[in-house]
Amino acid sequence: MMKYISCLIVISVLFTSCEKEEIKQITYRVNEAYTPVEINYLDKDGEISTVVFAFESIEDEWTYNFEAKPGDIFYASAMYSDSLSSVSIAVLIDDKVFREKYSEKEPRRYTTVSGTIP
Amino acid sequence: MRKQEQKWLLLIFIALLMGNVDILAQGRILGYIYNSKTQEPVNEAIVKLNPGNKRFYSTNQGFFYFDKLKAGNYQLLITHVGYPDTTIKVELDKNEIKEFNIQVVSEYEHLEAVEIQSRFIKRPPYLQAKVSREVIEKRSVSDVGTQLRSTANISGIRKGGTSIDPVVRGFKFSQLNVQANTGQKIEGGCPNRMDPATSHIEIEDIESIEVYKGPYTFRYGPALGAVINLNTTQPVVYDTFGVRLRALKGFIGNWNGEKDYLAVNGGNRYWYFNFSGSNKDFGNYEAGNGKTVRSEYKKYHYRGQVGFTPSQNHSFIFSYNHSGGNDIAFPALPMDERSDQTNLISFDYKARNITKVIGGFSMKLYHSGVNHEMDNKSRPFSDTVVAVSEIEAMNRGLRSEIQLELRSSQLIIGVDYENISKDGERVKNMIRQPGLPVKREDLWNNAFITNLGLFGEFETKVGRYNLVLSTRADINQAQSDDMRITAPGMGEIYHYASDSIETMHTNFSLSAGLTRQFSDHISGSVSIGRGIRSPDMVERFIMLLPIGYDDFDYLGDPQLKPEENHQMDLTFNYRQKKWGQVKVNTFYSVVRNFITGKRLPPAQQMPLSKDVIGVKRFYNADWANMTGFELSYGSPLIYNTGIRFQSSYTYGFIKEAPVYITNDAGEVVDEEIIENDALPEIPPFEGRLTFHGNYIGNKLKPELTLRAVSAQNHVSESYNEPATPGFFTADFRLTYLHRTMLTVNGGIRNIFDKTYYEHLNRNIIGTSRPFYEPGRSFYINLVIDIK
Repeated sequence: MMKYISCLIVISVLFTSCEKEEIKQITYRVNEAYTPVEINYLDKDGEISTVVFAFESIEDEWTYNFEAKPGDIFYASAMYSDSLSSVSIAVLIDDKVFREKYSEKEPRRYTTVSGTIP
Repeated sequence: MRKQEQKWLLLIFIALLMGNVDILAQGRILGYIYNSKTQEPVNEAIVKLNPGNKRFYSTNQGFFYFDKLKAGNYQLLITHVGYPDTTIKVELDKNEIKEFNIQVVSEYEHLEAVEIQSRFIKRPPYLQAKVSREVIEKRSVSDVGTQLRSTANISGIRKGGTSIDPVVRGFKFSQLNVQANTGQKIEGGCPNRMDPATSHIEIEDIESIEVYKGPYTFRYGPALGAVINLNTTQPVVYDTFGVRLRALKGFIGNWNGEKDYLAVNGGNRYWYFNFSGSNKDFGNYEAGNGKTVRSEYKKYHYRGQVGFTPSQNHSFIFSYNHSGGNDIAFPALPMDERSDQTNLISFDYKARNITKVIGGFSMKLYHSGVNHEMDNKSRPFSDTVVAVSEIEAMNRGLRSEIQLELRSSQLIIGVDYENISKDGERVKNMIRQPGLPVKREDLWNNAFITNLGLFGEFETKVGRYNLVLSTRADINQAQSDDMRITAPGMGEIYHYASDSIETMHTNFSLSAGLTRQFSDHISGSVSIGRGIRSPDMVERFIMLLPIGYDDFDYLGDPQLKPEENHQMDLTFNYRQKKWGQVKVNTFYSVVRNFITGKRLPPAQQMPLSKDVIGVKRFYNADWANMTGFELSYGSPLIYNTGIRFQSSYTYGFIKEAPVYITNDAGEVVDEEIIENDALPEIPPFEGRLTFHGNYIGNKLKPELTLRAVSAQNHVSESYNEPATPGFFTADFRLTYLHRTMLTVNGGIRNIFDKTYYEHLNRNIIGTSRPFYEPGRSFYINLVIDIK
């Protein structure tokens, strides 16, 4: 009988060791612009997508959400053409800002946030 | 207290409740079983002891053991497929220890009688080290490389928390022939050897590790410096249907590491199985100075084997093993291993006692596939470039041998073949640049090597002499697609056209060894050998990667010549039942066409990697020399308390080597040739003293190991190798056999919490900071064995 008790103990302990892979919610957020901005970002399929978003006021915001694993690459960059404009670009992990950059009066220069998900 | 620790204590508490302590009976019966003809140990023989109905499966060394026996008359029954049942009557006095050397005769030979005598057992004339599972479990190590480091004159190169790369007497990498279960080769995926072959076999599955030092035995394939054979547990043949369960739960404090292992085997005389699986999750450890060292890793594996014995002398075994690793940190390398997926498949056929002359035949077919992925995502440089490399490495082959019994001699002849292929690339994501440009660089370009070998090994015994001759011939071919690297804006920065890549070598290796038994206690051996190995994948085909000990990108040379080791070993052995065993060995080796690296002028080749000072190409240096000794003493096991001592030293140098002079900016400004420069990564002198005991009816086994390692000041100028200081450490281990089915072992490593590092530990990448070994660590294991 004790053999089986030991066996059950060992097996139950063994099975408590398994871990599920962590999935994180990633959000690219672009705002604080009031002129059109070209946004390049690495999408959920691992491809570079390009969108031109016509910001009209500083209240406008562009976001993109997807799920990713730790170690996946994130990349988003924004560029505006108007010499007096600005843009803020951020990457949020599980709704918390992980990396953020701001540009003002730097037309035709890419502002990029990139890295790997911790 | 952490939840995990609470779980542990509860587990031990429950286990301890399940038995009682019997300290009254201390008699023991132990011994070894040998094939009387071949003198090979007979493993997996069922040894039954009555009265008591106890059972023991002899180990790979043929060892069996019964303890806590009361005085009385016993009967030993030895059964094994291929051998007739053997019965021995034993009369045991109170607290008496009886030891037997049992000679059993194959069923198809004339059965005269079972001999029980302490006769001379044949030993090979060269040094061999064998480590059993019992020893491995006691030390609770997490990988094969770490276990091997505790063997005399075997060290290891540490680049991370696990996967230590073995170095035997200064020989390393492809100078060592590493294989599993006599014949299955594994090609690691990483050019920087994150995953040497030893890392693909889980230590918990190992039944024994055999190391044959020197270029003397060629049954296992080309051997230059040593052969390391990792024997995993195999399905057991039962006379009637039975099932055996073995489970292990371990915890290591400093690393916050946890490991689990479960194995179930069973079957009967005709069919049998063996299934096992393990899981390990280790964190970072603290060195003696309290600093955290990145050493985390996660590993798992599962394995299944089924066997079939249609008649007594024929068996078939099919094995499948899958192992994986995730997030394995290598702080001494430019990348970490993100994922490893390894599949090992083999099919074995064995026959024995085919005719009076043909004693055995075996054949193995195997496939070893490694998918290795690594990246720099945990490194500061990944803020600029995220580099990800994925490599597919495969080794497929076969091995077959036939054993011929010729009176008092044995001849083994056989053939082996392996096909190694490698393909992979490095993808660089330039994450700071607009549009996320991606660069792809080949690491290997459909490279492959094939090796076909024929071998023969003859062993004979004439009077007090034992002679062993071994030889092999290899035909080695290698090929790759174009070796080419291009870079944006720079065009083609390296190109080696495929029309001159193909090479073929024919190698002949030969050795002879003689043992003279001077008396019942004293023997002496001499071995002389010439072992040849062809260049490996890295040395032939690597393209501008910083894979060496120094800060250079390395280039392969497809036209390299094979390396030849000419070596001699002298061994003296004294063995006396009351006083123990002393073994002294000295070796002298000259390696011709020694493969190492030489710098190319920048005008000829610019480097590709960041933070390197130039490019080195592999070339054949004239010769290098390695010489050294090993000394060991072990007190007799018949006493309850004993000691073991071992010390070793290797001195290695190269005839001529270039030394590079750098300026303050780290640029090479000059070069000069020096003579007799030290070889890099040669371990210093070390001595190890172990006190051990068997108490409370052999239930309690404490061990204290003291280890002293000298400074290494004989260092390579050519490789800009730093000298390292000596150190002293102490480890304590305690094994408690609570009942026959339950063992608890635990211990403390580095008792004095010393801050130290081995000479062979690589520095943390990009710094001159050493890679410290763990500080004080507590560990505990619970092993349950239900038969």
